[in-house]
Amino acid sequence: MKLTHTIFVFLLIFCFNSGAQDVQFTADAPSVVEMGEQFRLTFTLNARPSSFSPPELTNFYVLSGPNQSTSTSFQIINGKTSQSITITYTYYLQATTAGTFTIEPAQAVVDRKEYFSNPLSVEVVGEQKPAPSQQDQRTPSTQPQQLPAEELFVRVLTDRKSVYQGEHIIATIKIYTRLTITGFGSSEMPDFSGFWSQDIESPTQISLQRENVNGVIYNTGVIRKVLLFPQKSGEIIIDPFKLETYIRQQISTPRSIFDDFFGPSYSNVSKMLESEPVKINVKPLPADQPTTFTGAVGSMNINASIDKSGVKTNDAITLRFAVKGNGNLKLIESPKIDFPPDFDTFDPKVTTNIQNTSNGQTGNKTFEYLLIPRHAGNYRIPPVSFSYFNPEKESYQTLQTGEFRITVEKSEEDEQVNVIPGLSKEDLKILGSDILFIKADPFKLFPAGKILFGSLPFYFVYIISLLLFIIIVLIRRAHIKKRQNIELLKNRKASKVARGKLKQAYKCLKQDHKEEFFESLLKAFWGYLSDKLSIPISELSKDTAEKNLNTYISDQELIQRFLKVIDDCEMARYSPQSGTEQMDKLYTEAVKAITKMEQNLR
Amino acid sequence: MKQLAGLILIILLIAQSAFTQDIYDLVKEGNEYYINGEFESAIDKYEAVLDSGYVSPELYYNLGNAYFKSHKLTMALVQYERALLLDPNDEEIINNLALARQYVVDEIDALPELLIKKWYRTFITIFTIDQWAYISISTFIFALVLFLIYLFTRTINLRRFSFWLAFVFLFLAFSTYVFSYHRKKNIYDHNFAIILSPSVTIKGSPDNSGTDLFQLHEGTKVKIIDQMGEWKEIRLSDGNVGWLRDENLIKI
Repeated sequence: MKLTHTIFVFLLIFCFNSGAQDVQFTADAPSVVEMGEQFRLTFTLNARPSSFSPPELTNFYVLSGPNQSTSTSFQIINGKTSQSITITYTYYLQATTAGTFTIEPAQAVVDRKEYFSNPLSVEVVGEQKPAPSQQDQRTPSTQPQQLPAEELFVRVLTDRKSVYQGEHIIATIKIYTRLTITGFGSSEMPDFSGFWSQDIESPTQISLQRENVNGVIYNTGVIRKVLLFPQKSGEIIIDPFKLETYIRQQISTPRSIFDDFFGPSYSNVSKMLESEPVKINVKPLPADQPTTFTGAVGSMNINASIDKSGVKTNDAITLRFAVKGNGNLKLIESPKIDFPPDFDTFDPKVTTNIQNTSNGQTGNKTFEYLLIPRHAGNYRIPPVSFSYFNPEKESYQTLQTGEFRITVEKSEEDEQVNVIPGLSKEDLKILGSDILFIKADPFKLFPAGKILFGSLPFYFVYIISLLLFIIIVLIRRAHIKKRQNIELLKNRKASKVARGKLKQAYKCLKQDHKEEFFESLLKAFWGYLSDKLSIPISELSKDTAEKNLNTYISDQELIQRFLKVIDDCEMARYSPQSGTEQMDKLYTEAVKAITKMEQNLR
Repeated sequence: MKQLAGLILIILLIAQSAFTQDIYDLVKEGNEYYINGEFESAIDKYEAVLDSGYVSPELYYNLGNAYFKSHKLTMALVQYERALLLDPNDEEIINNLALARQYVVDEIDALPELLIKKWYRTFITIFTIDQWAYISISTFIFALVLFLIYLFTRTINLRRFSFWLAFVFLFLAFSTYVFSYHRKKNIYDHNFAIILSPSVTIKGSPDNSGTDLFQLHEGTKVKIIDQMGEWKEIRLSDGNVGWLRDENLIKI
C-alpha cells in the first residue's frame, strides 16, 4: 500500500514535469583544438529521452563514448515539489586532421517529439609548438622566467574602425593567455574621451574560451564590452587598457629528490598588461542637415498619440511622443512641438527603456507632454517632425507624425469664473516679433543729392532780392533828392515871391483897389507857406499849416501872429467897412510877420 | 529756330516723364516681389531704382525690409539708417530699425547726449532741408520788404513797427538758414558707418601690428573720425576710439 502510493506520487511528478518544462537540448565542445589534442563533446538534455541518436563523428577519432550520466534534483518550495533532470552524453574525441569541421546536431525523442541539438563548429589547428613554460622547465634558474609577450596579452577590439559621428561601435576588451591565470590585480579602463560610452552587461565571472589567433590557440576571456558613440568627428584614439594579472609559474630550482617527490614548486608572478591604442576614424555627418535634426543617429521610428481629443477647459491632455529603434537613443532631445499658445504646457516627462546590447543601444524613449487648455475653442497641434541620420543608408531620414485636433469646451466652473469682470483678463500675448510691412502705397521719389540749399539758385535768390532792395532804395533816394532840389529852390525863392506879391498889394493899396489888395496879400501868405513847408497850395489849410509850422518852429506867438494876419485879411476882404487905414495897418503887419517868419524858418 | 527749340524742350520733357514712370514701375515691381516673398528679386528692383539716382525714405525702408527678410541684417540696418536720416520721425522706420538692432551682438552704452543738443537735433527735423531753405528765403525777402516800408512811410508808429519786425524776420531768415545747413550736414556729412565683417578687432594704431583694443561685430554703428590710407579711425557711441581697415565698414 505504502509502496504503490510512493510510485504514484513519483509518476505524478514525472508527468507534471515533462509536460511543464521546455525541452532543451544543447551540444558543447571547444571551438578550437590542437591537432592530436583530446577534447570533450557533451550533449545535454533536460528531459529523459526515449531515444538518442548521436551524429556521425567522422573527422574525429572517438576515444570513448557516449558515456551517459544522469543527475536529478528535487526542490521543495512552499510545499511544492519540483524535479529537474539532466542527462549528459559525453564523448572523448581526438582531432586527427587540421581544418574546420562541423558536428551535426544529435537527435533525441522526448514524448514522441523530435528534438535536435545545436550544430557545432570545431577548428582543428595544426601542430603547436610546446608551451614555453614546459620548454624552459629544465633551465636552471632561481628567478622566475621572463614572460614572453605573446603568451599573455590584452586587446581592445572594435567591430568597426570607421563610423559616422554618433554611430555606435562595440569595443570588446579581451585577455589572451596560454598560461594559467590565478587572478587579476588592479585594472585601468581607457577613459574613452571623445566618446559617450555605455557598458554592455556581461557576466561578472570571466569565462575562458579557446580561440585560434594566427594558428595559435589561446584561452580568451571577455573582460568588458562597451558601446561607444563618437561625439566628434576626426581621428579618435582609444587609450590603452591596463591590467595587472597574476600567473602561476613553475620555479626551477636545482633539482633534488624532494622536487620529484613533491612535484614542481610554483609561484605567483604578477604582470602588467597593456593593450595597444586603437584608432577610430569618425566621419562627420553630411552637411545637408534638416532643421529638425538634433543629433539622433541610427534607425528609428516615431509614434505620437494624445489621450483625448475632446476636453473641457482646464482639463489635462497628455501627448505622448515616442522614439523607438536602435541608435543613440539616450541622447535624443525632446522635439519642438508648436502647441497652441493658449495652452499651458510643461516640460515633458521623459521615460527611457533602453538596453545596451551587442547590436547597439535599443529600446524606446518617450516624451510625455502635459497640456492644459485654458480657453474653449478648436485647436490644432501641427505634425511633429523628427529627423535622424541613418548610417547604413548614409542619409538623413525625416519622420512626421499626424496632426492632432483638439476640441475644448467651456467647463461649467469656467463660466462661473468668467462672470466676475476683469478677473480673466490677460495681457496681449506676443507670439513673435517681426518687422513692419513695407510701404506699399505709391510714394514720391526725388533725385538723390539734388537739394535747393547750398545750390547756386538758392544763393541767387538772396543776392537778387538784396540787389532789388538796394536798387529800390537808391531810386527812392534819387527821387527824394530831385524833389528836395525843387523844394529847396522854392524855399529860397519863397520870400522873394512873397515880397513881389506884397509889392503888388502895396500898389493896389495906393490905387485903392481894395479887392485886389487882399487877394495879393493872401496869395503872398499862402504861397510863402506852400513853398516853405513843401506843401501844395491845394492841400493847404489853416489847420495843416499850423500843424506843419509846429514841426518847424517852437515860437507859438509867431505862429499865432502869422495866422492872425491871414485871419484878419480874410475877414477884412469881405467886410464893407474896411477902410484904407485898416488896410495900411494890415499891410505893415503882414510885412513884419513875413520878415519875422523868414528869420525863424531859415 | 524758336519752334525747333520748343520742340526739343517738349521731347526732353516727355523723355523725362517716361523715365520717371519707369522708375515708379520698378518700385511697384519690387513691392510685388516683396509681397510674394521673393525678397532677393525685390532687392534687385529697389537697388535698380537707387542706381538710377532716385531716393526716398520709403524706398530705403522697403529695401531694408527686403534685406532683413533675406537674413542680410547688416545691409538691412544700413538701409534703415539711411531711411531714418531722410525721415527721422517715421514710426515704422524707427520700429523696424529698433527690431533689427536687437540682432546686433555688441551692446554699447551710448554716452548721454546734452539735452539741449538732443532737442535741437529733434527740432530741426520738423522740416526738410529744402523746406527750411524756402522758409529762410521767404523770411529774408519779407524782412527786406519791411525795411522798404520803414523807409517809405512817414507815419512814425508804422515806421517803428516795420523796423523792428524787419529785424525779427532777418533773424528768422538767418536761423532757418542755419537749421537747413545743419540738417544737410546731418544727412550728407554725418560720417556714420556700420561694421560689415562678422567680427573685427579694433587696433590701437592704423597698422596690423597695432595693439588689439576691442572686438566689434557686424551691425554695430560707429562714427568715422579720421582716416589714413586704407585705415579708418572710428569712435563708438560709448566714446571708445580705435582703427580698422575700411573694408570692414559700410557707410550709411
